[in-house]
Amino acid sequence: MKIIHPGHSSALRSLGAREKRAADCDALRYANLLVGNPEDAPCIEMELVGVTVLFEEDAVIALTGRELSPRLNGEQLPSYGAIRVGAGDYLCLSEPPEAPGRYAYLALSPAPLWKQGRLEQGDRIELCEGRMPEGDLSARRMMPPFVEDEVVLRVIPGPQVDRFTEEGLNSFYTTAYTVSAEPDRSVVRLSGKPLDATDYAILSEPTVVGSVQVDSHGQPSISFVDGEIRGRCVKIATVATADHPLVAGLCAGQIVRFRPITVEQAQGLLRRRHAGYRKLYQKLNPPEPAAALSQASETSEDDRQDDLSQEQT
Amino acid sequence: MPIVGRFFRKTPVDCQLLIAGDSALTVEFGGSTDAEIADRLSEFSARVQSAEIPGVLELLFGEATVTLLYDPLILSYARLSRRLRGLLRTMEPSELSSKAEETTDVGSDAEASEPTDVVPPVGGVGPETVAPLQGGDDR
Repeated sequence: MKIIHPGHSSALRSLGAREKRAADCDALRYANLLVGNPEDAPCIEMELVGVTVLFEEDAVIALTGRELSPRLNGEQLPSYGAIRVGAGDYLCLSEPPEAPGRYAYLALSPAPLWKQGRLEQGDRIELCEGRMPEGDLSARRMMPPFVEDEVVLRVIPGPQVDRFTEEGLNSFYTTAYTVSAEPDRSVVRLSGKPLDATDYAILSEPTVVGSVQVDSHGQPSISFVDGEIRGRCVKIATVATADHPLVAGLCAGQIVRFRPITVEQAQGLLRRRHAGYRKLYQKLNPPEPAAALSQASETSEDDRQDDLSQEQT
Repeated sequence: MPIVGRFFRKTPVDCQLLIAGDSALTVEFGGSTDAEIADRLSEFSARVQSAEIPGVLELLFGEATVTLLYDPLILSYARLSRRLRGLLRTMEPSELSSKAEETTDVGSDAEASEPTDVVPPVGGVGPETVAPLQGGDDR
């Protein structure tokens, strides 16, 4: 596959290691599952603007995440569904409409071989030798996740929550924060009522994906997949892993609120999310000849709603 | 509850287990930096590595802390904190005062005995769970 136009910050991403890790791991997993790949196979991650590619061999593709109005040889394609392409086909994802979300993922089957770094014009991506889904692909689709205007992020308090005053903590959980600048893979900056703390500086210590750091002006920011490895800002909470895809989808001007949960609840949400991936995989890859694949939908939004209702109970 | 355990020592440092999300846990050996704390960090990390706790992916070091990244699908927070508490006790058992035993709060027995689901990867090769235990900067 040849890159005709690389888009913006497009690169192969997967799961796991930091520099390789997708910003929206959910969308990457769904793309892979739709084309029959292992969930952690590399996909092309595109930020805001998509790629234009020329296929040089047959493949099955799927696009998830931000809607990029995909066109194959000029004809509109649906997202969140598997599509068969052939040698000589052009796929254009370069016309972003006003759409929610930030990152889109293009999965290919056979899966692409790993390539480090940003994609450039003229790059070629080699595909593994492997089988791609055969026959009718119409059942290999799912509903895109529902995106709300106001995002509620579930957070686990800590590690330095004891540095904040009661008023500061109360503000954190009641303030509607605005994403103050265009986020990137490193950080999401927020603005709102300053958070009152006894001390804003700590000895240098590691930050993790989802750490909510508070600067000396009392403003929070969320460290993300390419964020600093260590920092000296006090951390009030950490976003639950199950909600990292929501962080990935944030754009400037969007409203964010925080809701506290326990670490046990957060780990329970993650186990349920992974159970959802397995359910989707089984629907898309039944042991018997395909019969009931048409239900391969609603999974992500159902899970989110189930998560919320489970928390309420 | 962010502070999950605190070991009061006569010398040289207090030690706290701090929750850093659902897949990381920070062990803080004090609020300043000195050679003794550095020694403790090394000793503790060596013990964690020797223990080869399934699900612990990586250790990241701060000036007075070591943060363990772990896979919550393999290892629950309760189980990890219990293992770490055990390792910390073996470091200097004679210096753990009786006060330490009284004030240590690392989760209830109910939490500690909570079953840990080991979730296999979907569709083939493992996901984040396969990262090696090493001192790199992966998350």
